[in-house]
Amino acid sequence: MPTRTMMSWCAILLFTACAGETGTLRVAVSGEEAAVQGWPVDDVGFVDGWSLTFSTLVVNVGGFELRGADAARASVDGADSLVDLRGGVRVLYTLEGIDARRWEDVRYVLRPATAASIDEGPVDASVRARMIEQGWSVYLEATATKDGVTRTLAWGLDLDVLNRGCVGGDETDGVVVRAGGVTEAEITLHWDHLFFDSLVLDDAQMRFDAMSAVADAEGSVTLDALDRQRLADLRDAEGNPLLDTGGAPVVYDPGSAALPEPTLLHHMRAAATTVGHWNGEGHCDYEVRR
Amino acid sequence: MKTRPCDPSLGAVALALLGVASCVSTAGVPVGVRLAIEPTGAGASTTPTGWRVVLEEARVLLGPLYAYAPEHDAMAWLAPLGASRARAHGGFDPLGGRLVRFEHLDQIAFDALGGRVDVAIARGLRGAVDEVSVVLDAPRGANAALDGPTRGHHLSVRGVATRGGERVDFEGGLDLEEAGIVRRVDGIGVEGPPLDEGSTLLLRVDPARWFAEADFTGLASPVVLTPSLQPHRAWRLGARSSGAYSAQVLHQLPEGRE
Repeated sequence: MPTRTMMSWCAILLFTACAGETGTLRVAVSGEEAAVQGWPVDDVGFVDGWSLTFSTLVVNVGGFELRGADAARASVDGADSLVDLRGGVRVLYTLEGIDARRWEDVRYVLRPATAASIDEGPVDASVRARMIEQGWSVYLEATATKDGVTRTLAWGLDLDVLNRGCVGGDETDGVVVRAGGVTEAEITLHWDHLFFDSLVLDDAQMRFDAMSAVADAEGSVTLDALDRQRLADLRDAEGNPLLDTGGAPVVYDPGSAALPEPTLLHHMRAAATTVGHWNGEGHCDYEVRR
Repeated sequence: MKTRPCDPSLGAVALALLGVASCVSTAGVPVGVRLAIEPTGAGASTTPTGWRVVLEEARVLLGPLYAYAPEHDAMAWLAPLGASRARAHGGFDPLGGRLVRFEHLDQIAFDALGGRVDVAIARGLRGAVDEVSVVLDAPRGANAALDGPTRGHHLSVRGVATRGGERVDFEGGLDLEEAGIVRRVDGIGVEGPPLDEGSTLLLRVDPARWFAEADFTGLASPVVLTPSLQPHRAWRLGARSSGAYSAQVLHQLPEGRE
């Protein structure tokens, strides 16, 4: 058989084999151990000595889609999911009968909750109502402590971020759906990013002193207060330059990120756009829509 | 769970390729592009703490520089299907995987208080560009000399800060470590038409943004700015902010055309 014909038949047979086999992809969402028990967890924590636990950590997720490099697509129809990540890993989607193959482009959206968002449990009804009313995609309540000092957070974020081109924890594109079985996958949300001191280094540190410094008389750290901390001139609670444990000025580095104002609020918001990951440590391309 | 079926035939893929090719019959063609750099603003700013900062010297080492096609560019869509990309002066992006329509790899010592500099004419790829990245790299060659344009630093500056009756004369050098993407300035927006034969890609540098957050309170004049001082930290943030840069494509029509 001539080579060209042989190759053609091989291609057809291979294609036929691939096109005929299907599998199931089951997708969960997780905020990892930090969402459930806070920090420190293992050897991960705040370098300036704070501990932090979440009492509420709700996120609105939707738009899950698989795209192949050959323009094939498989998407989840239906409303977004509203999930409190303190409840641990929660399965959101089960895609049955999809082609068993590598889907190179995994994508999903963190976007404001709407009345159509489905409560995947356990989401407090008043939290749900506020998120819908305010257009938040993330709402968290947390308590931070250090040396007898307590700070509280109640932050609603109206992020709208398309996470696309996600790679797996093994740094391969997307996900491989196995034939004839169930492939488990996970939207992994890394909440340590909210407290990162750098947007340009892989080994960014988690810090809270600069946030604690702007707490009000009741110990609450509001988003408006974060907007008073200018990145080039961070101050402690007494108004003095904020120093780290080594006596050096604390520095937050947003790199070239286009911040509306060079303040800790906007640094945190920019960092928050990158919480989305895939299968653990796999990064995505982040298309910020707001 | 309802899913959309997939099963593109080889024929459908071929037709799609033909369709895309006909839509982008001229995109990706090599064209000659001039790179130019000019300062913008007067090198003066007033900070939130009330200091009026006037720069008397502001120099920066710029390059490499990359100009990217929009992420949804048709040529970029073809790339995963194996369509070739031109690799002469465009097409390979070592920093992010986006389609590069123009690049300049040499380091340019730029006086941010001087005039426009026409850097070079090089080959790019015809088509739209929407973003530029520039690297503030370590001094190379003659630029690394202590008596070089930036006195051996990535950036150098000299100026005066005044507030009421206070005055602080300052100078200094800024060096950026090779870590992560510390040296990269990404997200510089580009205005103007697509790159074409005879286009100029103009990068603008606004040195007034360098000290926009500086506070010279308590500093004795004259002062050499070092990393331990707040104005130096402000400079490090300001000089690397994409807001200190902008870009524009200027298209020069061939002679005889109006």
